[in-house]
Parts: sequence; structure tokens; C-alpha cells
Amino acid sequence: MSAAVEAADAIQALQEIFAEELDEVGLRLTASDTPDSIADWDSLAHIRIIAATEERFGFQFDLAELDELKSVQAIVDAIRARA
Amino acid sequence: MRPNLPWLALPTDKDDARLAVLLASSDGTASWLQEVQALAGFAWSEPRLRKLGKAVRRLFDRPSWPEVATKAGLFPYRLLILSSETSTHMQDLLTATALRHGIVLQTECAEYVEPEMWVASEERGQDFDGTLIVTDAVGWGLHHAAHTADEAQHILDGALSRVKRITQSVTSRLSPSVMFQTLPQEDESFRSSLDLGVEGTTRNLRARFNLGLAVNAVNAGIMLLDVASLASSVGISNWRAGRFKHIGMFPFAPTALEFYADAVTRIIASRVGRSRRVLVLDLDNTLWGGVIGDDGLEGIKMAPGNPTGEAHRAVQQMALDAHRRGIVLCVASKNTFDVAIEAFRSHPDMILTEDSISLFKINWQDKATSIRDMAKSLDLGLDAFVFVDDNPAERMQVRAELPQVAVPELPKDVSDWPHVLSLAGYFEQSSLTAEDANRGAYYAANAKRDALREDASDMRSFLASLDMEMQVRPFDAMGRARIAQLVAKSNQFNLTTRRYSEAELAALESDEGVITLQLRLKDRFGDNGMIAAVVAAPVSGGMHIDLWIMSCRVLAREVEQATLNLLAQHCQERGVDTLLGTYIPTARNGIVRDLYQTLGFEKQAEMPDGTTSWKLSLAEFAPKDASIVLV
Repeated sequence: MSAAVEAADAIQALQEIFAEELDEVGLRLTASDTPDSIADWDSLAHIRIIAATEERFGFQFDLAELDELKSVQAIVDAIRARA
Repeated sequence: MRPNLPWLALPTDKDDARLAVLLASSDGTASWLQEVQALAGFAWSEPRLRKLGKAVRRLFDRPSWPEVATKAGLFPYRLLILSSETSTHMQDLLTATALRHGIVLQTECAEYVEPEMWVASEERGQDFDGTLIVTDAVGWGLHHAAHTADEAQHILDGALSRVKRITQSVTSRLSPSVMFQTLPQEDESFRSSLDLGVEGTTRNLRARFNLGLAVNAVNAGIMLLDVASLASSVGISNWRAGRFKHIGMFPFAPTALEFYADAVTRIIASRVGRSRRVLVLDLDNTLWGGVIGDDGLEGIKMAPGNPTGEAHRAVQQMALDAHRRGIVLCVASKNTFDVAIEAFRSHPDMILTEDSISLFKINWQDKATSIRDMAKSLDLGLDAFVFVDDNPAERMQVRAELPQVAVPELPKDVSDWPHVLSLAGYFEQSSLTAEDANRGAYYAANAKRDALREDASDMRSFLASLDMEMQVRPFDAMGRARIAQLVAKSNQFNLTTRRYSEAELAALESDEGVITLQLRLKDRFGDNGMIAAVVAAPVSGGMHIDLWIMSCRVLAREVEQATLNLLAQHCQERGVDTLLGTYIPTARNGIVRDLYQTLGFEKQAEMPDGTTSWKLSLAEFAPKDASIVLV
């Protein structure tokens, strides 16, 4: 990733990943979404979302970081910290 | 790396559009299911496959889903997964993958459990057709090295006897079949190259456990999922769960799920008689290099030492090995018969002989037509066929015309064919010895499933609808082996737990004074085989029931009532007016504690150990209701 990832682009990418992994076409994602606000975002879906995000952006989250990724904002921040 | 399934063809855009429509319009009918099934054989992306699985799983909300499956020509199967690790994440993919093998697979998971504890505490009846036990090395106590050879032996004996105990309790309480997994060689220790041969190393323990488990599976008719072999096919580095073990207690890498699911479901398919049995081979550029019509008998390549020749020889050798294991071989080739058959008759380098091929279709018609003809001649369903051809156009034609036929996608380089074909595992054999018993078991499971769905108040019409027929014969030489087996194995429905040797059984056959009955039961689901045996011998005061055993597969089918009617009739024919019975309690025969009472016997005595003796006067005996026709 050469240039910094814009927050909006990251959310857009995550929205596609969530829609795919949660099997919800047309899902709208905002930075404030958490597992509490999205019904199917359970722990197993979380693992798939993390794996798909890594594949999409071409890096691997740190093990210690995984516990913190409990909101869209947190995932976006972690993605942007890499760019 | 995602260890994908290289033998599956990629879907075309048309297939892709069709599946999208089907997934959006899931109406749970048999024709919907059939259409989805026809598409299930392609290499879909993992999220797509998961959606497919989810759509099929919506069927399970309706109690009638097994009928829908049957109507669609598919086999309904209920699998319980007892896992020491996470397993719910597998369910959608398992259901989707099972469809590829003709199975509509419903699953339930109990996670993070020890199988013995779970089975003991569970009130469920025989609700399942099979139970998959997922236990890792930690669960089996094989994760640490043993310090001495004796300790190693002790640990292994313990693990393998647990396998037997779990098998026994699962099959008696939950499902007629059970599946265990071998352990992959992912012992992450500082290894030494000699470890395999050093008693007690983790590598040595796992290898011995796997071998013991596999031998046990062959002998006891247990389904075996050889995870060690799966893991080595894709490489331990691709198999191991890595951080997913710590994040989500995954048993193996999430990327290996499709591969794992294919193995599980193909074993189940084989168990219910749905594995492939016929291998159809093309000739030119498949069994040999080159085109015999153009290159001539001398020009085709299959000589040892020639790279192209060696690659095709390996394909021939693989086919010959399959033939030796009972797979039917056929040839489908677009050629002039006299030209192509000459290779079989006079080419010195051919490995396959003319005798090893059951049917030759060497002609100029399309291959789908040839395969359809073969199915007719062999009297086998198209879903028994595998078609191997180097030509992508031929493969596509057969796939389009006959979606039931398995048509492996093949790499360009023939050297890789045997590997891809072996990964596909078309000719899975889930059991070698206990086939008949298992067939009976799944029919019985079917019937029980129906029974559970029925309203209990409607039990009689349910039983009547089973069209049960019971065949009655005295003990004879023909039935002796099976009677002996039943005597040895029946622990639950067994009033006296008296064991008879085959010699004792033989003596009973010619003893005129003794009543012996061997009972076979058929119903509309099929033949349950021999399901009960009775021995009654004269004593002072009447006939005493020395042996009464029955297979638990036919519990609650009024077989007990029909058996009593038979016994009473035999007694009356001999002028005996009293039937005597004894119940000797054991740890496992509690289900028949009240049998005699239920059947109207009067209790005569009760011993301190719980043994009870019973008496039935036949003077006023009215035959019990039983929805069973005697033949």
C-alpha cells in the first residue's frame, strides 16, 4: 500500500467484506458499528472478517491487537496505521 | 495457501448466475434442492459455498425435510459433532459439501466437550444417523511425551480403550454409526529424526494411536476420518490452525475447511451406499500419449522410460489398482473400434488388459450417450460413475448432460493426474466388514426418525404404515453364526445375559424339547436382518425362557408382543400351559427390567441382587396386538 488509506475507503472496503461474510447484501456500515449493533457479527464471523480484511489489505494483524478490534472504527484505525 | 479442491471444475458465468437466482429464491421444494445439487459440484468460493449451505439449512426448520430430500433423490442424514474444539463454524460448509455427494446433511454441534461426559449426561435418544468425534491430541492425552516404553503403552491402551467405550455408548444411545479422526503429525516439539521409532515420543505416540484406531475401525465398522492423511496431502504448514487455535479454538486452519468437509461428507456418502463404483476412461492422451488413429499402434506413447509414457502408465496403474479393489472399469473413446482395441490386444506396454475392462464404448457418438448406455447395461445409477478424459470439451459436455456423473478437472500435465484423482477420493470405502449391519442400521435410523415425528397418540397407525413382516424359524445351521453374534453383542435387550457358544447353539438346533426362535424383520425401509432370538426350555411347572435377546434397532416396534404371541402359540401346541421368565439385572439391561410386567406376567419372586422371576398362565392368554405380519 503506497499511499495512506483514507478512512472512507477503508470503511467502504470493510462494508464489502462484512456484506460478504455476514451474507447481508446492501449492508451499510458506519465507523461506530460494533458487534452489538450488527446482529450476525458474532465471534466466528469476527474471525472470518479479520481473515478477509487481512487478505484484502495484504497484512496480518498482531496477535495482541486482535482483542482490540471490536468496532469498525478500531479496524479502520488498525488498517490506517499500516498504510 | 488455501488448499482448494483441484478436481472440481470452476463454474461458468451461467452457473454463477443460476446459483444466485436459486439462493435468492430458496423455497425448500424438492425441485429447488435438485437444482442446487446439480450446481454443488463446482468449485465455488468459500463465502459462496457457505451461502449455499445456509440456504439448504433453512430446510431443516421444517420437520418434513427428510421427505423433501428423499423426493429430490438425495439421502437425508443427521450428524452430531462432539468436539473438544470449535466446530459450529464448519456446519454451513459441511451441508453445502454434502450436497456434492448426494447427501442432505443436517448437523448439530456440542463444542468443548468430552464425548463420554456428554453422552452420559445427554437425554437425547437415537436422533442421529452418525456421530463425529473431534478430539485432539490433548483430548486423547497424547500431547506429552511418555518417559518410558511402559508408560507409552499404558497411555495408548487407555486412549484406544476410550475409543471402544465411546463407540459403545454412542452407538447404544445416540446414533448407529460413529466417526473418529486420526491425529495429524503436528506435534510441535524439537523433533529428532529418529522420533518415529523411539517409544513414547509424541510422534511415536500419534503414529501408534492412528494405526490402532485405523485397525479398530476396520474391524469394528467404525467410520474413520484420516485427518493425518488429509493434513499430509496439503502439508502441515497449511493444515495447522496457528493463531486461529488461540483466537477461536479452531482445530485446523480455516482455509482447509472445504477440504476437510469434502472428506467428512464423502465418508458419510459411502456409508449410506452413495460412493462411486465405476471408472470410465478415455483412451487417446489419457491411457496413452498420442492419438492411435493418427499415430498408429507404434506411435502412441506408453513405454517405460519415456516421460510421457511413464505419466500415462501411472494413470493406467491407478485404474488397475482400483479394478483390484472392486471398481468397475469402462472405456469411452471416440475412435474406430478395430483400431483402438488393438492397443489392448497387442501393445506390449499396456498395463490394463482387455479383461480388466467391463465395457468398451469405442465409437463416434457423444460420450454422455455412451455413459448413459453403460449405466443401463450395468444397471447402476449415473451417480456411481466417474469419467476421466483429457479433453476439456468432452468433460464439459458430460458435465452439462449428466450432472450426476463425477467429472474431475485435470491438470494439463498428466504427471499430476494421479495426485489430483487420489485427493478427490471418489472410491471411498467406509467399512469393509460390517456393511450389512450398517445398512440395516441406517434403515432403522430412518424408521426411528419417522417414529419421532409421529404424534405418540398416533403410534399404531405409524406402526401399521411400516408394513412390517417377521420371518420366524427355529434355530438352524444357516442362522447359527448370526445368532452367535447377536448373543455375544446384545447387552441391552437381554433378559438373562446368558451367552451360548456356537457349539451350544448347534446342540439346541436338534433338541426337540426346546423352543428356539430366530426372527427376521422387514419393513418398508428394507430388511433389518435377524433382530431377535429366543430359547425356552422345559422345567417343572412350564417352559422357562432361557434366552430372549433383541436388537435395540427395533425397539418400540411391537416385536416383543409378536414374540410373546409366538412363544405362547408354541407352548400351547406342546400342551404347556405356563410360561416362566427371569430377569437378571446387569449394568446395561435396564430397558427390559419391566418387560415381563408390561407383557402381563406375574412376579413370583425378587432376589436381593434384583433378579426377578415371572409367570404367565396361558390358559386365558389373549394374543397381544402387534402390527406385524408373520411369514
